[in-house]
Amino acid sequence: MRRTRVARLIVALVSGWVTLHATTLSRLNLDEMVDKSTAIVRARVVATRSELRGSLIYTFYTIQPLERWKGTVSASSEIVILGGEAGGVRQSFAGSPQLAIGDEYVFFLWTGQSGLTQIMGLSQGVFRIQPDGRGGYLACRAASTETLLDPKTGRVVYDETLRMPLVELRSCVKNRVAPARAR
Amino acid sequence: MANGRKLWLAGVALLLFPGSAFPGYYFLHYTSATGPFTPAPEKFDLTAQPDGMVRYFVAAQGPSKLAPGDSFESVLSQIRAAADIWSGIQTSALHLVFGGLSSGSAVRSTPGIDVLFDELPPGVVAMAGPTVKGDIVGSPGSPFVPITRAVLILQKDLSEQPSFSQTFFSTVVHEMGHTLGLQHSMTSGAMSTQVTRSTTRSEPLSQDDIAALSWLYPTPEFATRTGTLAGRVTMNGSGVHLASVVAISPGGLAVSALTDPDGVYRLSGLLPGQYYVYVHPLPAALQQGLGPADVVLPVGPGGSAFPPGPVFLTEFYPGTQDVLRAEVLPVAAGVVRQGIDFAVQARGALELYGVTTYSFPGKYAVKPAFLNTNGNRPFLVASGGGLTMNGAATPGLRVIPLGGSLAVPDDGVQAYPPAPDFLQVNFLFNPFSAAGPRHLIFAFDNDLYVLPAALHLVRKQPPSISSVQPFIDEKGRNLAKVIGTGFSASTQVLFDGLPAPVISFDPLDPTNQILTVIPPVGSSTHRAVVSALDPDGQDSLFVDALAPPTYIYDFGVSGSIHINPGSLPAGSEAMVEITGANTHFVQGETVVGFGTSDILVRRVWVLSPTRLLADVRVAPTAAPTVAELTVVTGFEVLSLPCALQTQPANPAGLVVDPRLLNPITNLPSVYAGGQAVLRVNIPVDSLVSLSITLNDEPAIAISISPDGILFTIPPDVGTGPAVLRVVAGSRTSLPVVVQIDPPPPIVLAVYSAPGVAVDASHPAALGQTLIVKVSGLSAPGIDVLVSQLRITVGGVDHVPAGIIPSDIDPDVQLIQFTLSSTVPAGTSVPLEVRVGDRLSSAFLIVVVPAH
Repeated sequence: MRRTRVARLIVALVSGWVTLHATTLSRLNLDEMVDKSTAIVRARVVATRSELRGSLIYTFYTIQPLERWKGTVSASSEIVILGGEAGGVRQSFAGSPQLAIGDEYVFFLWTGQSGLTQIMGLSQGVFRIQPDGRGGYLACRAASTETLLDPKTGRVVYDETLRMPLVELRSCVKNRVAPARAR
Repeated sequence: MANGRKLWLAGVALLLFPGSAFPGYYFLHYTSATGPFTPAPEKFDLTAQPDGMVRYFVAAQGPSKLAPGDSFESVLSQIRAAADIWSGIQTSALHLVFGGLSSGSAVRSTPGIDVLFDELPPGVVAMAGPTVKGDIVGSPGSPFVPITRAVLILQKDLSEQPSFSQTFFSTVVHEMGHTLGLQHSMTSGAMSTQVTRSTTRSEPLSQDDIAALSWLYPTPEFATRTGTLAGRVTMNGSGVHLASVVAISPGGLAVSALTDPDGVYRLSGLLPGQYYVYVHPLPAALQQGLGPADVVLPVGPGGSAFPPGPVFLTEFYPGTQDVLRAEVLPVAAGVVRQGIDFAVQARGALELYGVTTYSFPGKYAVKPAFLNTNGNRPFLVASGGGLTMNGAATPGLRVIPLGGSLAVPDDGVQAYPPAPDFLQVNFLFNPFSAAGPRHLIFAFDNDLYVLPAALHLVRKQPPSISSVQPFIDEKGRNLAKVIGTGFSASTQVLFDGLPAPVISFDPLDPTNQILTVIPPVGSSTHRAVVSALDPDGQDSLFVDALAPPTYIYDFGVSGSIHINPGSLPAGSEAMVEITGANTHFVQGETVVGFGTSDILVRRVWVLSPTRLLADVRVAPTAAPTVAELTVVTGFEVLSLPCALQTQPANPAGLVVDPRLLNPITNLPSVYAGGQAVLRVNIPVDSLVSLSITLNDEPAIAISISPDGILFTIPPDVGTGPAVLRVVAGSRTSLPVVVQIDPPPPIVLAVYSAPGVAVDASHPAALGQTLIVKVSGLSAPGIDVLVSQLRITVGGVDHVPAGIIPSDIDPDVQLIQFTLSSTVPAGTSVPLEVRVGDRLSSAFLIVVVPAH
């Protein structure tokens, strides 16, 4: 069989995207999450409440920031996740992060024009912090089962994370944020 | 959470993408805590809809940002196209109707779907799902949980999601599936996530999607046209919950089901044919509290979730990982085959999973993979867990096509040189293989991963459009020439999401083929992206996406609409007249809605491009309010705020139901000179001094019974819409529009061979092809499509193979069909021909068993 030699192919997903955006998948790598987040914090969830607005339920999680890595987050901020329970109505969204009161997380947050602060890519922007058994901490996030091609470079965009030392995640974020500040 | 009546937006599926959601098929409740388990899926109760149809409403404010050149009209056209896809499943009784643009304050008391545009964070493309009350209703054998409302949320900012793209369309189709009660599947259909989804705009649904929706909303044909395989999955004698069982045919079909807590499964909706069956585990949960692959777990009577079963090794039936040793199972229509059981073995974490395939029909990668057997790129590129390691194909990895259409040579699996973390798979094609989807098996050690429809075999390059040229023909029609390559007589042309009928095809110059089309009705300065779709699944956007051809409308002045009357009481049925200025109404294309489920549009008759009539029903419980009118024809989207005011109900009012019934056929088709049954809202014994008129012509009432008023339709009333009024004493009904059809068709003869009429000496045999000679199939000048026809013999429905006009009499046609083996034999078996709701009288034939 004649093997076709592909000298140069712009390897991009063309599911109709004019801009050759790599993904129909809206998958965010770590750099993109850092760039697009309006705030990145390590915080503890301290309270929760839900509210019915129109036909949707919003659950508000009050967080107590422990570290601020990007942006401004007040001492008692609220994060919104669609779904929850209010007025006898319950809405559930498969794949939405489930936050536990008292637990610590690293949140990649995005505040839109509405003023509501949401989590980047929902479960993509949540890293649960847990001890690593050696005195340190790990930042853990749900694994992805997909890899993508970056249309600009043709190279694989690795699925980031899974489990990484918290210090490493902090360093990656701050290094990404710092050059932007310098500019 | 409060006890009592609760609304659950259960299993709203988030199109987050990557691996966050591959659940099962339905949002399930079980009626008992222990087996045997009876599933109660969440679904719309079609009997609760006034006309059996589910309405969807689109938020009037639309998205806040659009891609360059895009428009709300284009976005709306894609939403409507997605709804039409789900409505077009012949074995499903669910039909979606556009209910109009809605404001946030619109009343929604009848179950329906809201399409909203909201601010979603980056990384979230769309979200959707049903809202339900927790109550289980229905019969003991078919319980369900009624969906009260469903929501589909699209990003408010669509600046990076052009609506003409396959991505946007497949996203809307997928999310709409969730609103109808479907969870994710793993068989590469529309309800799979983008990782493995293998559908295109040309083939937007897989058999798995069709089977899934049909099971929820079955028509009688679903049971008679498809078969079922059933069995149990166990491990060490115990049932395995949420194991995924898949039936795949070498020809490309795949249908899946998940096991219940006892490990029992039922694969319904299988088209007749030969299938392999395999069972595989779902990937681990990504979020605490969810099932494997983020399935929203089924719940029992107390609301507690049933836990998933353990992870196990994938295997084919009967108990092998070698597909060459797998048994091929025949499936017959109407037959349930039990006992397809699996005894699986435990395993650790999955090593092979989530495979996506790409191909290169042009300069760019396309997903799903389409391989041209006559082309020079007989390979695909794949990504997924476990495929590569350190820049090379995982040692020992094998890729095995299912079926004999293609093969992978010994050195055919390698890392993709430009991006070694991807896998390249080279193929050899069987020169006699047919086109269509093909499945691949990825195998490593004792791990198997089956990817249904991993690639599509085609015989040519995708179509490509070089230009679109508008012109006016000799009849004064606005047409367009779509010029390009790779077209065929079966190529479909879309303007954004709307089809443009092809009226001619000129293939003579292969480099400049011409499809002449009728563009959809446009609006002033609307810009539509034009694309071509082939029946093989390919799309011109595979190669044209970066610079898609466009068609710009220039209609000059925008249209406007008016409605009369401007108010109706709650509980009424009435005709409304809508007139337009600079409008382009078209029968069969123009849709009317009021943005609220309290005002239902039953039917529309277009009388001219600027005038239409519609039958409207105002719910008895409708609160006094004003509703916005929307009239859509193609891309012409016209709104009239505060168009129709709902007034308090008139308890003494006379209300007539415009759905006349033929007392002979019991179907809603009546004709001039025939009889009809009219239903009203008041007791029949109070119908004094009754007067019925049709187009102001008096109709004779024959009798009055609890079923309604039997009357004769005046013989001089022409076919088409007729205005009906009823007066009973001092009460006068609001006028309604009724449809007067042509008389029913007449079966003249049935032949088993040319010139051989079926009779006692020449009976019809089961399985034999018959010809039915019929007159009056349609009104003069109107063609009947085969899809509109049904032939019923001995109570068994048949889909005709074709219609042949008679050479002698233009009113006579010959219909060909094959007599089903399920027809009961006899000497006086009734044969009826049905066109829509027009049913012929029974023609008796002699039927014998097959020779």
